[in-house]
Amino acid sequence: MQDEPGRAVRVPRALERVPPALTAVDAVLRRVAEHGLQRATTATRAELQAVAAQAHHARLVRLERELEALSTQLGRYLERDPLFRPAHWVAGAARVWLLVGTTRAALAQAETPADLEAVAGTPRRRYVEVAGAIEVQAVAASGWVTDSGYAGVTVQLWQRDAARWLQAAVVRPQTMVGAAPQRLLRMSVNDTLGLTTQMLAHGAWTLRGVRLSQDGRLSLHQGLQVAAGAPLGRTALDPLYVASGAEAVDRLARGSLSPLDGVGSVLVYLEPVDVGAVTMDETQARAVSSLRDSAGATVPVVVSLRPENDILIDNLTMLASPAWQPDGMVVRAALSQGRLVLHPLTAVFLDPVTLPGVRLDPVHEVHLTLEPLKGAQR
Amino acid sequence: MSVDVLLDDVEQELSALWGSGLALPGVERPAALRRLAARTEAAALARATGLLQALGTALEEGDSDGAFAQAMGLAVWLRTFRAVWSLEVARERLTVDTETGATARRVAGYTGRVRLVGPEVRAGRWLLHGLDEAGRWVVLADQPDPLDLRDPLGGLSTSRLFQDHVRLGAVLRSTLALDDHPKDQSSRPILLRPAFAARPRLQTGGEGPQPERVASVPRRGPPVVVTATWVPRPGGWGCRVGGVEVSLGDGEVLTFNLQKRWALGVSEGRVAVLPDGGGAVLLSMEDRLGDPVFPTVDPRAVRWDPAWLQGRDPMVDAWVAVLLGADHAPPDGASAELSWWLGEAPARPRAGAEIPADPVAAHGLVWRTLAAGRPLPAEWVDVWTHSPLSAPTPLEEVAVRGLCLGGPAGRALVEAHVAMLRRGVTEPDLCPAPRSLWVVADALARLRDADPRGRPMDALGLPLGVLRLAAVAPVAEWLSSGGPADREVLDALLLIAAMGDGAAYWTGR
Repeated sequence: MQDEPGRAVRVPRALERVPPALTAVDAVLRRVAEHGLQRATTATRAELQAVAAQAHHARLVRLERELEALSTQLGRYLERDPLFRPAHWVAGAARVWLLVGTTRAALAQAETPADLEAVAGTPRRRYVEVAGAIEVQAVAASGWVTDSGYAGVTVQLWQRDAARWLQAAVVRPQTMVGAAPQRLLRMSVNDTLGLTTQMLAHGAWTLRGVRLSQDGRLSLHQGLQVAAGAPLGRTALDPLYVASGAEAVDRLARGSLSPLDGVGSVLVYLEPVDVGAVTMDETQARAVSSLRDSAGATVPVVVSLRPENDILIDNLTMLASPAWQPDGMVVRAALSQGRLVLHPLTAVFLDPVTLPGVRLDPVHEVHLTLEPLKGAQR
Repeated sequence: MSVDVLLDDVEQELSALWGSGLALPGVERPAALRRLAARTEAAALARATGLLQALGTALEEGDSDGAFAQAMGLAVWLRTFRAVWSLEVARERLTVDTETGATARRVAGYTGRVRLVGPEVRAGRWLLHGLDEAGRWVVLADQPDPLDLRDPLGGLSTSRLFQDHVRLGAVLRSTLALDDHPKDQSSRPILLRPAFAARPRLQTGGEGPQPERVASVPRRGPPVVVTATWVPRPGGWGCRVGGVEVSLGDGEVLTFNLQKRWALGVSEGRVAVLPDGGGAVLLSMEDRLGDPVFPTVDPRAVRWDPAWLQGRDPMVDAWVAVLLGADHAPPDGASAELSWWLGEAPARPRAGAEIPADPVAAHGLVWRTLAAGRPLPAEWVDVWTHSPLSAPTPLEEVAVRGLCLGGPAGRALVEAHVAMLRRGVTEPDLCPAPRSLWVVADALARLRDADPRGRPMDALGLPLGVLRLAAVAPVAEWLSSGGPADREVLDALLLIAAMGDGAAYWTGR
């Protein structure tokens, strides 16, 4: 890299480490491909782990993670673990190969480590202070539980002034709230704000002292100031709106075609004509319902039978009754076995709903994994 | 044979290659790849065919570099094509399912353009009354947050109805366009509340039906236009329409405006009112320029021209200069407070002066010392911090004691009395004299290190309407009487100056 003839520009140390790391990764992958899994040993796995460590030191975060995943896969293969899937190995190896190629191409243009971040990834999110106030409207929320012992609620917020999505997550260890994310609803989002997670998940807010990550995560830090904002109503759902299941497939198509960044699911807002009855599929441990879209197509709604989905399944059962047919639903759309399937997050009612046992004004959105409809009034 | 099976077979072939390795793939692999290539060719998957053939050739020739590149390319193609294929299949299955058309469930809402006649503001709620193109009476209800009592028309409010930050003044000047807005089916008028999926849009201009002009106010019905006469009554204001007395309620802003209007000698005007079971709600009034104004909501609806106040009394002229922020020299005989408001430091009290026991006189001495930028003598502080409090305690005494104590102790003393004052002052009759209010507000501002020439009345937290009425009556009476300005008028002007909104609310500037 030179900025004028005869004068070399100092290359940052992290960038200096990238070319040898890529060469090493390429060599190991090629060697595994040539020898084949049948001839792989624990030494092969150690090689993969070594180049993963080299990728780590060169700040090639995505490559490091893919190599670690390959190493785990290889461990399963060596241990004759029935969870090993050859197709997953092939796909993982192809992703590593692609990442090496795209990183090389990006490196040719990069002058600082930051120039590589889009391809190489970042070790952890960086939150950047946003000047002034931003206006957001909560449109969906869902509760979740992780195998690593955490329960959380993620609120999807629409930022009207920048026309983009933000996510705010409240997370606590299960030792504190159990495997019941709904318990987080009554908790304050941090120690200084008198704002509960449930309040944040309903309504519009003007936020000051905002810190945002590049991928739209909102930090709920102690310096955040929150005031009531102008509610956007249905307008906030416009960016998510799809008239039919076919349009939801189109949305999926927009994100699914990149072999590196392909998305598995998208958030959409549908206005179903009706919601079908819930049936239990014990063999696959899931509850199945359906939405009929405005074009008349029936799209399956699938929820796995897990304890944290109990409220969701009860709510889905109620939504199938004529009295509780929602006017809209925010769902996560994905493909499964060649079919579009939906996972519901939030039901939207044009006539407000009074939720039982909460000090909230009547709401238009009911977050289905968190807020029981039983006892609610319209 | 379906594409799914073909894709599965390609995947299996890749898995087999990864299992055996590209260097020693086994003799059957190139042939298997050629067979697969023939099948992909038959399925018109040209890219896959090319990759499979090249891979087979590389394996036959022992070109492991070429085989590696082709195998990786094939894996990427498989991932991408499978994504596309799944999307197509999912789309097709949705189409196959489509047999019955959907039926709409929603009841149609209200669609039309509404020209507003005026607002009714009750307990922080807006009821915007208007007529649509067909002459139907439409009411839009909203609960904006916050409603700025200093400037209800110009302040920015967060509206659920409009789903935005709006100014009531801008709303009232607009025509509202509504599209399928949910409405109460049973009510008359057409009542529109904040809705989730609809909101009125503000449009400029556009003529619409005007309220019917009538000689007397009916008991019920849509807004009407009448000619009304304002009549001062003991304890309030009355209104006569067609010889019949109509109650307009006792809103503070309306009373404030009618006081100003009456002082100008204007006692009759054309107004739009909403019949209310024998009474009426005033919605709007024509001002001198013919535009509608909203005297129940807007303290500036009736304006005083500064020229009407000026030229009658030199002290009043000086106070009007204070209100307008204009330069003005203090006239001869101006009080120390007036001079100070006009920017002149008052004369220092003579050295060694004894502080009187009377709280009003003592406050005068203490205030002049502080306003001159001098510290209070220790003996004054000693006198006023050790004597017992009177009961009830005059506000001047609270101010003197607080200023002598100074610091957190003085501030706490004054704040405690202000809290009691806040609880007691709920209507104009219970409001202390304007001068006493200013004395305590000024003391609190000094003890809080705030600017006493700012808006010291704000710190008292007293109802704005009560303060306005406490100040407007003496000035209005003086204006209508034509006599000299007495102490009460000057104290009222002092209070207006301390409220900080004199120019805006008194003269409309």
